[in-house]
Amino acid sequence: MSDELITSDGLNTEDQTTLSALLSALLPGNEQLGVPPGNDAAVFEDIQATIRISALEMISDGLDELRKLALEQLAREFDSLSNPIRVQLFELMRSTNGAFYGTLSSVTVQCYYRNDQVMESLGMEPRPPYPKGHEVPQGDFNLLDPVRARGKIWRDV
Amino acid sequence: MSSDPVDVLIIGAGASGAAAAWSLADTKMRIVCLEQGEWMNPSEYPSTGRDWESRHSGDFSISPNRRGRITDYPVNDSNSPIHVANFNAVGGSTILYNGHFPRFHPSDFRVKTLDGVGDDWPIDYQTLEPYYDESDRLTGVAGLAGDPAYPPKQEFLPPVPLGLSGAKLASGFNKLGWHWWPSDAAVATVPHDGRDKCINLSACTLGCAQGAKASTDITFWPHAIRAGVELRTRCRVREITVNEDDMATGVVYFDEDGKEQFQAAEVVMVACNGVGTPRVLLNSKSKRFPDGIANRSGLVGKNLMFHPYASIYGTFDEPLDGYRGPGVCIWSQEFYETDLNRGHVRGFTYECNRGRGPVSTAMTGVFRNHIPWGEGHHEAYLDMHNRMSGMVSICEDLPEESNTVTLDENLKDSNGIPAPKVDYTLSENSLNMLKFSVDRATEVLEAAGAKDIMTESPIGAGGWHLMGTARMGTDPDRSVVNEWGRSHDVKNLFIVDGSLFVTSAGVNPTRTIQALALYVADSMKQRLANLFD
Ligand SMILES: Cc1cc2nc3c(=O)[nH]c(=O)nc-3n(C[C@H](O)[C@H](O)[C@H](O)COP(=O)(O)OP(=O)(O)OC[C@H]3O[C@@H](n4cnc5c(N)ncnc54)[C@H](O)[C@@H]3O)c2cc1C
Repeated sequence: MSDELITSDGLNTEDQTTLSALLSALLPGNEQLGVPPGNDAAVFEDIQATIRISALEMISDGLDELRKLALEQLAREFDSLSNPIRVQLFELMRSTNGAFYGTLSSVTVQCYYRNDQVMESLGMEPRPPYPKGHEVPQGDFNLLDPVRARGKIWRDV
Repeated sequence: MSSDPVDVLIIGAGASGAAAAWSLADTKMRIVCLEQGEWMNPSEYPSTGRDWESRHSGDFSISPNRRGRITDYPVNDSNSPIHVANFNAVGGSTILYNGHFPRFHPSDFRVKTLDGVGDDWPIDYQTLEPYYDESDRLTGVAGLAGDPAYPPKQEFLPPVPLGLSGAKLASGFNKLGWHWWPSDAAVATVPHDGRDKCINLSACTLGCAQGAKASTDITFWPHAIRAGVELRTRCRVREITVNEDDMATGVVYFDEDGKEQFQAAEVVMVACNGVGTPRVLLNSKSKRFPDGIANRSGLVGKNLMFHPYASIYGTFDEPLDGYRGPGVCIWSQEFYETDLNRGHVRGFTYECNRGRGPVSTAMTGVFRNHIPWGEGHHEAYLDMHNRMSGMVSICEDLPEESNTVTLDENLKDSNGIPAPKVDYTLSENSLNMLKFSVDRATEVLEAAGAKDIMTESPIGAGGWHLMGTARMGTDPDRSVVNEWGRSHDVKNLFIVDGSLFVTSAGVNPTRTIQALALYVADSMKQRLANLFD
């Protein structure tokens, strides 16, 4: 990755608006489940930072394509569309621009599912695995009784 | 370009190089190991950060092409349905390995005699048994004694936990009356040899920050270095040089600054894995060896074996372990031995891998259309979160000369050394075995109560076992090295890694690679007075 990409300013305002509209449609917030929308400030910042490092140009081009698609197919601005229609247009790009669809989907879930609020809603502590680790029950090795009863299965030579 | 000769020069500090260095150290010979990678710093392993799952697709990717570290070399594997996975550092690919640690079976060394395919090994299970035991002591192997799929073997450390996932899958095997057993694992379940015990970080394939998983940078290497072995990192070997008497004289390598260096040696030992080793040998062309050193048989780089893998997962109604735990859980060898009624010869192991992390669960769901974007996303996600579990099947790959590692004509690493090119086709036997394994695994999962079964066959990214490209044997026309790892053509050149494998068995290879490396080193020690006869 080049220094230019790392120090670049990131997405322009127009792209940010489109991305925000898309993310709120892909991942609608749900108070009952305690999850924020995909364009929640912390998630959005993480997504933008991740894109900035590795895929700025490709994502910017893809967002431009998404805006054009909205204009061509529906004669509307992308961010004025309803959430289900935004999702539908994004899904169309799965076949027309797989790299954009794949990268943005991947970055979105990576950032969303490591967000504090999302992890807490899943009953997880918002922390890395190390150093605390996790508890896993040892389990009941008596489950092996039928396997033991059957006896040797390795082949003699 | 000159230097004092060392007694033994080892190329590669992975599983096999580490074991051989450790074993040879007690001879007090001057031993130097050249490794292109660096020492890893466990405090920087992904599991220490919140972005741990994301680093699977970045600097800790299993693909050298994707990772692209300065210490990596590229591999052209575009003509293979299975792509090479490795890691280049002190510890080699064990930095990323999962720690599944099965032995071969006695039958695995006699495939030709028993089933009329492949070739028999020039050694047998009994030959390797003491070296398995020795390697196990250094490694710290967790397991439960009494597995009826194996001859009795010593067990050291308590088994890895079954967890909710293991118990669930075991219930499926039990319903069908099929074999399963807690997997042998290269994981310290209690403190072992200065290493702390496993705390179920779940990130085994991203390097173990706890130091519980037995990567050889923390098992064999500290002992070998204390015993006097010199390990030089960031040294990438271009070629092994040879004299008019067909004896290796040393190696040409690039140091960290990209400067070409020569290291003279009395004995050269290659431990670069099933792709890296043929690459070094083929790059070592000379008047005496126009097709690459030690290649008068023409077999260097041929008979490449991966293990074709399939992955079979399902979702369950109740929460299981999710990603928590070591990756290793239980295995089944119900279909290990040949039964021609199944439509294939030889067999496979199932290895159950618990579940997936939150990000990986979402990725799987979104890309496989189980989790929609927009409305219904969260509900569908909750159906999968901590509820996925399943297994992989590890299918025995039989040797075929048409599956090869050669040198790429254009692709080079950062030192300008030609990169390896992999040409590999799945045989009909492998395809049949994969299909059979997917069908039976589906039955196990359904018996255990799973729904929404998801499969991938073969696992495209799963070229993590690299074997067969410098096979051992007694016939110089049919093998590259003899029955104790010495080149037939160059009497002071040894190979100790998975390239030696004659057949692949249906289990992960590293326990056998380490045992073989110890066996070769011990064979050398026993013949020191007439090593080159
Ligand atoms: C993701 C993953 C999961 C795995 N899981 C398991 C598992 O659960 N169980 C199991 O048994 N196996 C597993 N494996 C495989 C296991 O890691 C390998 O079998 C084992 O490490 C091979 O040992 P080796 O010594 O042959 O090669 P490696 O460990 O790959 O070491 C080779 C070393 O040689 C160095 N080298 C190569 N070329 C040069 C050169 N020209 N100059 C200098 N140095 C060089 C490399 O940098 C590397 O460090 C896994 C591998 C991966 C990648």
